[in-house]
Amino acid sequence: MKILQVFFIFIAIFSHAFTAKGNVLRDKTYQPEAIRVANEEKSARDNSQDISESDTGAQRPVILKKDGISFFVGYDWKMFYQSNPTAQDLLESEVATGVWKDTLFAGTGLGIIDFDHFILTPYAGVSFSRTDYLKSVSLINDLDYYSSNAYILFLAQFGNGWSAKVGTSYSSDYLKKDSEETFKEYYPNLSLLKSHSLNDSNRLFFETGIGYHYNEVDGSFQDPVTNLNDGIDHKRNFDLFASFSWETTIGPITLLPKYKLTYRDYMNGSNKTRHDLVHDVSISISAYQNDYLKLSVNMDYVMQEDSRSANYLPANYENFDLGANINLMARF
Amino acid sequence: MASCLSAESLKVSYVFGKTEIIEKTDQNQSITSVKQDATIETGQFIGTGKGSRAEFIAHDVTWRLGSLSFAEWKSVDHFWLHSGSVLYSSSKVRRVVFSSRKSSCIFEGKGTIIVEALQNGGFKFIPFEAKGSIYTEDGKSKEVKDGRLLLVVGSPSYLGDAYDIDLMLMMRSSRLINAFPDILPTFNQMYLALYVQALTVDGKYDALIGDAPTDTNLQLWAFGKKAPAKSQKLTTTKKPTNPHSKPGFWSRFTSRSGK
Repeated sequence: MKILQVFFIFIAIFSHAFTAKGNVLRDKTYQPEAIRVANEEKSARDNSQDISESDTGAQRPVILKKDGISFFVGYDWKMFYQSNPTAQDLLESEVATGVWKDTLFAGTGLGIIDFDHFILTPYAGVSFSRTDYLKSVSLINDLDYYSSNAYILFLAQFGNGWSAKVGTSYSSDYLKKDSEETFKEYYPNLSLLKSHSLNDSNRLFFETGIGYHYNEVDGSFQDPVTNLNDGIDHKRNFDLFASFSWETTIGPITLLPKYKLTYRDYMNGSNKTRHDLVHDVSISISAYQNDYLKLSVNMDYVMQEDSRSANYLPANYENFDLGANINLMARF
Repeated sequence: MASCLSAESLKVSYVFGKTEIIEKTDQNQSITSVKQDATIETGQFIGTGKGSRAEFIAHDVTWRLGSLSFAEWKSVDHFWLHSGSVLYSSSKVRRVVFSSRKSSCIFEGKGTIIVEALQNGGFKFIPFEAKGSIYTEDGKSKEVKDGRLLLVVGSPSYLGDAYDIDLMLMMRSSRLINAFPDILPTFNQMYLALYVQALTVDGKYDALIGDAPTDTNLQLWAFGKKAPAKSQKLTTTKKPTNPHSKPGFWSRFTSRSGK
């Protein structure tokens, strides 16, 4: 309960601010157009610079799509150092490794629905990725895996700058060595997002949300207290999260430091009394970006605290990622 | 001075520079400066000086008059514009008549609309965001769309060509939107119109729409690295001929779009 109190205090402090982009090293879904637009479009209320030139303003003709249906397709490549790929309390010298990750992704915007006080844009997408660990140790090499993901979400944009996202995703991981499926999950979730422009170069983002991880994992783990094997549902959990980030542009470089706090409440097996608090601090530095190509360097530090007593092997761990990312995306 | 608005009066909520009213009923036609928080009656000519602007409120409707404008409220729901520009903002459905030296139309609906007088006696009807319909004297009507500029020309008036215009550029460059101390009450709807256009824009013309010296000619000012600074006179039946070309599949990965 104490962990939950900490979480809600965090939300209360930052709830009048801002929205967030996803963790660039762990995202399995790629932001649809509408989320990018919602985060980037600035209002005149936020814009401190007056560039008025005439009473009516400049009238520049544009070409518009006849319907709101859009498509996007892309490729994402990441190469990074990962200090703890196993997400367990192990010595970094034993498990730290380089990681190579490729992802192909595609999605579609299914139209724009005007509800007068808000605009609803449904999206669907899929992605397929391959993760290779470069360390020549069987403990790590055996973890190479493929991952597939599909999602559908509804994004509602309100006139006051807030937006809401509700949807669900399906993920499946399977090992490369024997194509064994080690993890699959349905993740229905809901989140609220808000951005605030300080000026043309600085924007703040806030996002908070809730979801349920309905997953199935390897059931061979043994509860150290009951000595019974955990079921495949022992990692199911509710999560609450809140994140705060700040985007600043200095010449051609965009910096995006971000802090995300997640509270997880597990339900089953040896995890029944488990509550996790996860701190995630990251920074992304984009040196070149246009509508299609984004190059970035990313750093990410994660610390997970498990609330259970020492009778259980607490799932505390720390992980540090540092690497480069190329993202190529086309929109139609 | 009346302490509350009558059915045919407007409250002056903001004045910048010089704004004057001319009472038509006086034989000597007295000219009075308009001051903030005053009340003006309909049936009087109103004019703004160079660089001046004013805001008026009546029945939850906000009116903003641009510089070098000469106009008259024939009633609170009938606005006549001789020259200059005006912004109309209402979050409730109303029936409003906009007229100029030669043309007029009826708008039934709600929204944020900019009207600009043209040299040919007609006017531009620019709904930044609006829901409703526009009716002209030739008996035709058209549903208004966010960001779609309409020309109302001729007598009896008819609708000329329509152009979708860049709403973000207009918002950032329009004094009727930006150069007033208070945010428009319909600002949230304007934000949503910007959002929808950002999702649907597929290219931009390197041109700006200017005045219309005749009913069939509309000025288009080209700009860009190669374009000369001269205006190009095109008929209202033609759109500009130099849009950004739509990129092919592979070129989308190597070049910017016209967005």
